[in-house]
Amino acid sequence: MPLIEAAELTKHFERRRPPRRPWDLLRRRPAPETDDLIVAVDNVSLSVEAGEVYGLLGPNGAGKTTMARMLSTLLEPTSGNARICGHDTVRDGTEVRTRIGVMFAGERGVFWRLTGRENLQMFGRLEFMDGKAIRRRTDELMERLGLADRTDELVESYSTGMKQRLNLARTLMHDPPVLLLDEPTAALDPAAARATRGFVDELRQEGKAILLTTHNMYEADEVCDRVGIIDQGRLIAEDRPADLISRAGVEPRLELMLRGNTSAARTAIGDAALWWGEVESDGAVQVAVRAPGGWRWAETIAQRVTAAGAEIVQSRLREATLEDAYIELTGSRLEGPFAPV
Amino acid sequence: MLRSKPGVRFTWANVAAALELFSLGWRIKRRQPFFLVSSAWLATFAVLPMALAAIALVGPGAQHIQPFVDLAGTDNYMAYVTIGATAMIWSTTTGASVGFVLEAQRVEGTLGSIWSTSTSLLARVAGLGASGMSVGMARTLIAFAVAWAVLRFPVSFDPLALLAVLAASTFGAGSFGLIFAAIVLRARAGATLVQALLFGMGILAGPAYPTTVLPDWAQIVGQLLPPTWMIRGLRATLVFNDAAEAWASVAVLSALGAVFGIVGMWLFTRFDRDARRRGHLEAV
Repeated sequence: MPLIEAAELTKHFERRRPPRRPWDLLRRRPAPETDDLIVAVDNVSLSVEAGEVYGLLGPNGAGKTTMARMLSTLLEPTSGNARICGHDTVRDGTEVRTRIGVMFAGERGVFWRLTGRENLQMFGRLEFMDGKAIRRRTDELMERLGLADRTDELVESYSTGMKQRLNLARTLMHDPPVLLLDEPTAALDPAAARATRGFVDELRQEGKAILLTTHNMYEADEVCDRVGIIDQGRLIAEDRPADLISRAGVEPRLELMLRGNTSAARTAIGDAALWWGEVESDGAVQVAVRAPGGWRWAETIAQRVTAAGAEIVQSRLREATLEDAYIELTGSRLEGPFAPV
Repeated sequence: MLRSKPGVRFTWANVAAALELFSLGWRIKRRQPFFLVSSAWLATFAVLPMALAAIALVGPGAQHIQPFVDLAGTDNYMAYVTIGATAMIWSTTTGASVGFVLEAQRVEGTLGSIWSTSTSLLARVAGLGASGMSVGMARTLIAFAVAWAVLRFPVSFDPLALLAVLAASTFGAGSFGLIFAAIVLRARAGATLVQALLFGMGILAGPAYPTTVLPDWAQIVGQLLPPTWMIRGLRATLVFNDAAEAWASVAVLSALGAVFGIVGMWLFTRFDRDARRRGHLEAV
């Protein structure tokens, strides 16, 4: 049985506009029209098994955090339902809360004017742990998360990354079977982010069901067993990262820097061009070209470009990544070599 | 892991969680040494002007005391006014405490962390509320002690009746505060509105004057509010030494506390759910 289940989960928010006159605040507002509603999550269904990391991947405002909040009981869905270990998040809120650990993005979520130990002691009590278990678990988690030497210092003296790690320790205090981690590495430096990803992997091996929201493609590719891409509230694709790449139809790409007769080279490359940059002051131009056949195709392109009178200054063949699949699927409007032509 | 099945263990775990939340406020305040001193000082500044106004009104040697005696039934005007003013501040801070603590957690970004734990809503509210109320009570006691040290008015009391009045007042005002906490949960910046409402209600409680000077409608409304009975009960023990009146206040405060407690918890649960629906729970 999946430990996390969401069935046709939908959340609408009312658009918030400033009142035109102060006394408008006191007036009872009519039921919002459809135009006044923001569809934050639209009919999303997903499930996560024990020992699985499910990555919810999407741009800012896609509905990832709203999903995590609905699963954590902090937000009620407009329609649809969600279950944690078989318990409905609306009807059995208390049952659900005993089985989840929730960590939201950012360094908030813990008390800055308490020490790390005091924070974990307090949240341990709120999770019904006894004193002995709290002490044992505090020492264990602070050690595992590299905070052991700062346990008895006030949290306000911690760095952003340390606060975030303490927040993760708080989430794990009562050893819940389900973890909802909202961008757990958002504010971390590369080394701390890598350590956190390693820690998430350990938690997966311990059999926890983990829903992890992120817009870090590398993280999703490295950590997640399955990835759901959410865009404008809709789950537009869901699969293992490798399968998602092949399903999205994205191909390896050849990245070139050309000089010389670049306009003739552009004609020679034709439809294979994915992106064509501005000509720089030294006459060089960056180009991204589809390369479905890998190096063999790259050689063909190189011959065409050279024959057209252009010089290849630099070349690099990039394998298709989850990022490419993501951009392909979301139609992201990024500028630069990653943007679709 | 302790599941949320009703039972002695679950209840005890919730009590322990509420006690932890209670100690949270004190642990944080302990690290702000000037908080308690400065807020007690502010409370003192709110009490002393009323007492000084009373001194000015009765005149040198209390030569104009008679109209006050006719109205209030005592010539111990200093104790009458100081106790009334202190009780009004106490009732206001107690009533606002749950809401203020909630607002503080929201601003600090910790409300979501507390609200997503296993602890029941009642235990969360009781723990956070008791923490805020006890800080308010300490503040008021300091204000009263300072006022007494400066003005040196006579007080006489029955310790048991005083204890009962203090306990019933805490219960009555705390339960009343649940309604205001629900407002904080529902409305943005609700804490400011709550403070204004509670100070407004203080006028109906007769902090520096007998409620008989108020219009009839205001007296009737005042009878339904805990601050009126808190002031009446404290004056009955400390000024009039009237045990019967003190115990009557205890009975009314307990009844009002029960009614407001039930209504407040119903409203709080409703607004908590409403906040979850609208996404306002953690909105500052």
